[in-house]
Amino acid sequence: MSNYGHTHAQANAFDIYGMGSYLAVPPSYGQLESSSHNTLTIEGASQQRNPIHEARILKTDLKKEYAYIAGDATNSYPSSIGLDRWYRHVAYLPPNIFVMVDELKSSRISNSDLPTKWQLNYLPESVTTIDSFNHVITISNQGFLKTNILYPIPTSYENKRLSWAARQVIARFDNIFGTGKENQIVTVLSVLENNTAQAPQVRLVKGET
Amino acid sequence: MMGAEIDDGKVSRAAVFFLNSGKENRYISAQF
Repeated sequence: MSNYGHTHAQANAFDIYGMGSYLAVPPSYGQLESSSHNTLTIEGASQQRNPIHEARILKTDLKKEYAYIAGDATNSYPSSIGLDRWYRHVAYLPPNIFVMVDELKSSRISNSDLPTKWQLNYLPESVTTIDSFNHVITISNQGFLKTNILYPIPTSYENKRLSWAARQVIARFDNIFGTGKENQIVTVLSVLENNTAQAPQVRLVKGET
Repeated sequence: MMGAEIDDGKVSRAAVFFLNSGKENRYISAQF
């Protein structure tokens, strides 16, 4: 969860290896900007590639039942977008499920047309499908990574080539701060042995505030 | 805050909640 290494801007990024293959991957050499990593573009803004804009780990909680980690990448984005918070909460539920909540807060309600993008890279030899009705992204290699986007409903999806070593799926959210200063992106990522394996049933839960 | 409830057919039910009280005591509660 750092933007220090190789001066890649990759705060709060993640990779997933499972069932014998890399499923969520970094973009390889030469792709330094955060738009090329498994992180967020927030209202059109990428992370600033400078150690003074370093991220930090807020909390870890490692138990037999789950592993939880929260990263704070608020400081990685330019002050011009008025971002007050981006905490990425990740819970790993063994053996194969990750729940991810991106907690976002802005200093202002915004009518910006610039998109917020949830980014997921995969190897070129993987096959990726996007179910834009059920909001499920499936990356198929030796294993399968099924991503359910539970909240909010993406405006659109994009699937593009990043480099010789990676392609990228983008779930795009327009006006993420259009109705309030706070919003969250809730996703569940499940690693499956094959495409016929029983995918977990998932649903959004609104906790106490 | 929001979270997800999961039923993978193996574990009976697993619910994850991310609670944000606006204070520093952020935590996760997993129920199995």
